Amino acid sequence: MRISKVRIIGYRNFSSALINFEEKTLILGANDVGKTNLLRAIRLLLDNSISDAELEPRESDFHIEADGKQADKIQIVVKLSDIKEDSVIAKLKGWISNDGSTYVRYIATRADLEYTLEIGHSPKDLEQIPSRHYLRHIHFKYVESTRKIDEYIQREKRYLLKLAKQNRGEAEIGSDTLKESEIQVTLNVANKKINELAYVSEAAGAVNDELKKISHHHAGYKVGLEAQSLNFSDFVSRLRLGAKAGDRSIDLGGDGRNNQILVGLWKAKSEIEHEVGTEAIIYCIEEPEAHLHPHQQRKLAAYLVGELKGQVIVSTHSAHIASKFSPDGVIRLHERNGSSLAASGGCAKCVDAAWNAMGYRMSVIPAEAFFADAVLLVEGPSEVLFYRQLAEQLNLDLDYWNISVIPVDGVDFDVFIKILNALEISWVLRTDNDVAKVPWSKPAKYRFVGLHRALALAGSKKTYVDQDAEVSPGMLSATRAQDEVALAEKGVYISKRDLENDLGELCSAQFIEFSGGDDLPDAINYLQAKKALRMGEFLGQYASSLASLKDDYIARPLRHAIELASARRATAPTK
Amino acid sequence: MIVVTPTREQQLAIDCAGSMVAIARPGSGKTYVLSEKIKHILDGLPHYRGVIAISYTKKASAELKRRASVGIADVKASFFGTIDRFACGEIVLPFLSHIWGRPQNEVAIHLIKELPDEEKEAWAWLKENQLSLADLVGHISQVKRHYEAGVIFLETVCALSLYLLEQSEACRRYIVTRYSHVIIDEYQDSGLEQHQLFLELNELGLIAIAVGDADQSIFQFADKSAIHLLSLRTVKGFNEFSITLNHRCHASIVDYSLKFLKDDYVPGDGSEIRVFSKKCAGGLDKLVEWISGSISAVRFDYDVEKLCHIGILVKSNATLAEVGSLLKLPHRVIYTHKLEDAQNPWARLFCELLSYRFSGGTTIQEILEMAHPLVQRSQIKLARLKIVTLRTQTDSDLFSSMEAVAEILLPGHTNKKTVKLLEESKMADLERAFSAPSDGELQVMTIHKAKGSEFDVVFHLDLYDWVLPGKSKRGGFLHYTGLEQDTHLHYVGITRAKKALFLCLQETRLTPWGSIEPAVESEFLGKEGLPELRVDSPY
Repeated sequence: MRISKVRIIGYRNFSSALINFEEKTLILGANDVGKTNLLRAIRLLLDNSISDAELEPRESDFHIEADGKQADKIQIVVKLSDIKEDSVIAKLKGWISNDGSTYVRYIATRADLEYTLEIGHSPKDLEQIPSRHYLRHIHFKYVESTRKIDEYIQREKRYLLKLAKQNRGEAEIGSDTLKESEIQVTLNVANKKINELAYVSEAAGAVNDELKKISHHHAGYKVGLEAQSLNFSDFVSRLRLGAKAGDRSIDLGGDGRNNQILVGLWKAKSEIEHEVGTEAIIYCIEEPEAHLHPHQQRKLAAYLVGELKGQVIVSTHSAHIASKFSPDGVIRLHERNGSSLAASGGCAKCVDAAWNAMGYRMSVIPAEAFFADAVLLVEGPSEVLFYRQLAEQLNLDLDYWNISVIPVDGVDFDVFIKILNALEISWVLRTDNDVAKVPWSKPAKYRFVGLHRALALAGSKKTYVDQDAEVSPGMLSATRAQDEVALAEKGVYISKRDLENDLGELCSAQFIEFSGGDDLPDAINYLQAKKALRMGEFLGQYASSLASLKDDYIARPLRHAIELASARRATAPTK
Repeated sequence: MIVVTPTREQQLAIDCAGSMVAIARPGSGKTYVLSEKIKHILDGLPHYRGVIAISYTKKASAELKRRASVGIADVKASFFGTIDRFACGEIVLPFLSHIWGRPQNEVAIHLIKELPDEEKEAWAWLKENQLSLADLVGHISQVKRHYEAGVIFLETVCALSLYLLEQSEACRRYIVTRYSHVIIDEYQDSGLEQHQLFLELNELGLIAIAVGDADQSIFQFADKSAIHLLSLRTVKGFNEFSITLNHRCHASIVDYSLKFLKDDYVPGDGSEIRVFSKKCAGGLDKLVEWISGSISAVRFDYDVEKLCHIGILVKSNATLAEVGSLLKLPHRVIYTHKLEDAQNPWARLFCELLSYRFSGGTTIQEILEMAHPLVQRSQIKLARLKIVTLRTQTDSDLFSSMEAVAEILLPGHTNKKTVKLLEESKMADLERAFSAPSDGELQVMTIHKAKGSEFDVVFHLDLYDWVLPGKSKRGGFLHYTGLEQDTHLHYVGITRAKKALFLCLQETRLTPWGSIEPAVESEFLGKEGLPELRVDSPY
């Protein structure tokens, strides 16, 4: 069984949202966009650990629109599909449809703060029920982000002990019982010996002397310090989960390791508690990356995908988790007009198609883009270095605006754009105005590869006829200038030639000085010989000169990105 | 009958793993075998799976459930009840909306029997207990129309279940996942719908077990017949078993019963004969006087602990009433109050409330569990308070209090007919019908009612011609009204007795039209070989 659809109306961040879930689903979104609220909406219907009292709505649960109007009704519908677990089929009877799905619905009204629960095999045939009895064989295992790891572990240790006790064979129970009585005997001996210590038995000597003086009633009466009878079960209750490195006992790990222990414990416990296969289990964990460094984050992501048997829902802020998780569904929550929505109309699979297209190229660097409010896609590392430095020099705070500068590094821009569109993340791009010679053409013909690329990315079908003359810089810029404005409107920026040439034109003196060459072409060659390396060095030495590029075309992509990002923050609709 | 170690034939039946048809004679420990079998099955099932155990009456189901639960963890996933309740609760009510949508009004179960005559006409095509799936499908739009108005007729539920099993994958999946076996008792009284449903469940993969005794088929007047039981012998995959040893009755009574059924039966060599015949001079009043007079001697001789272990069995309701009025000793005439026959939720609730009031056989908790699931807890509390007062209420307030409780627990199921039935009942009748028979009361009932029970001593009445076997004159010719049925009836009557059986006759009897006629000894008593197996009553 898995959650396949969730519909939320009027609840907390959500005015009206439809979200699809797959077997392994990733939830992305900025802080406060409503990830936890989305999970809470699901948990009202599916998590037994939420008590009936918590189902009662509060005024603040009802969504407030941008114009201030508050919703009168909350409606949450969860569709559960592919129900194959026998115990669930036996329990839910006529509430399961032919194709193995069931719908559960929660409705709350603001007028009286009452709620009702319904269940049925079709959204049109829902029956009211008094409580969530249907959860008897359905287990929603949730680990929240604000988990107190230490507490959790210590709480669960009792459970571990209980379980281990239950799983003993008869012989083991026998030998344990024997040992327990032996231990108690030892404790009794210790008790006695402590009481015999001279300084213990005489501790109250002075007091006793005085008592005798106060009253003869105390003649046969003595106060003293005694060890409280040590009890075997006291020891057991004080057991603390510890760790061993080889033979050495060490303190339980730092937060990161504790997080890993928690996840491991969580999974082991749920598999023991519920018969996998006959009971339905859905796993949900928020921010599994807590306190873990990158390798461990990726390992954890792989663990979550590979080891948990059942639907897994992960919400994360980590690009490492995102890149390694292999979801078949990605949900990105974002805000529009004061209410939260899932990108692509909640179609997690649509995103997944684009995600898969990235294939082997998916890594933490492109994955960072999924958390951005706007992305500037550039050709390669030199551009990344340049634009980051430029932004700093122009006092444009990229991190403040959640803007990522991402190199496509030889890959089609297309692949990235598909995924960004699916996630409804705004983007701008800057590509080189490169030219390629048509092979074996005599006289030489050239294609305006860069220009065509840019036009295609902007959605235009316009092409340039091959030229049959040497392509001069003048010709390049002339053709390019025709489309510059139209392209820029779509967020597509094309260089005049390429980064080194364009920058060189603007900062020729600095280039020549840096390269130690005689003229600009030499300097440009010098920089292009070892692209990112030399660009990096140049930027290191001449950063301040970038400030003068403030109003130049070369800086426009940055400004555009910021416009897009800030539009997201405002309540006005974006592009 | 408490059998601690099973006999060989019982063990064979218990051990059989596949589908089977078991012929179980009277006193053979049928309930024991069934409950052992169920325990055995449940042992190997996960907690969410169970068996479908169908019995003929609520009482029989409750008894079977009780015995199957002894020492066993959980019978919750199993169904114990009548075929109609199974069909309604497990198939029709949960799944009909899948194919026909959910009607505006909440669906309620009605009876065609209770419809006004003009409306009944529309249902003339429906022959109860002979309704095939094909018949239903032929009139499916009529059934659907009523459903859309919120009405389902109880007489259609079995056939509707068949229809749903065919049409709805979700329904099939549920039944097969939840239930591993279908067990139907008293199969000799099975109607066609039940039989078809039984076979269909078998087709779907459930192991099917039918238990019955063709010789005890006594409900033919309701179109039930043993042909279905007998036909199971020829169905592929069904193993046949017989559990014949009668543990209940004394050997001489067993001999008598079997000789009565089969001419060629060779009785055993037993010494003591416990089958007695008694002919009384005079009418029924003299007979009843004789019975009253001999009771203490009989009790002493046969070590009968309590009066309630003695049964007086008759064929007709008329004799029943008469005996009841003539008998001076403490006695209880067992008959069914109309409320028990009514099949709607309010009637069932009233029966439980009356049982609570008069016999304490039902607990308040059991009554509260009948409430509609959406009734608020606060309302349940109110109902509880009201129910408690029933026991101390003056009889005239009883009815209005009962109605109030019904309003709270089952709102929206008001049944005016049932309410009228309740209000028009005589308090004495209700008390008679719903209080538990006490240990110190002789039990007086029809043989039909006695089915499944047993007594230390039986006084079998109505043993004269025209009554048993029933005869009537038509066009100048005398013919039997139901020879086979009456044979079975007498057989059932005989086999209710454990220690002693008295076959009683009077010299004269009262005819239905009020005249006094000589009572001719029933031809059943004169069958070949029978007189040798009985003696005159020494009392």
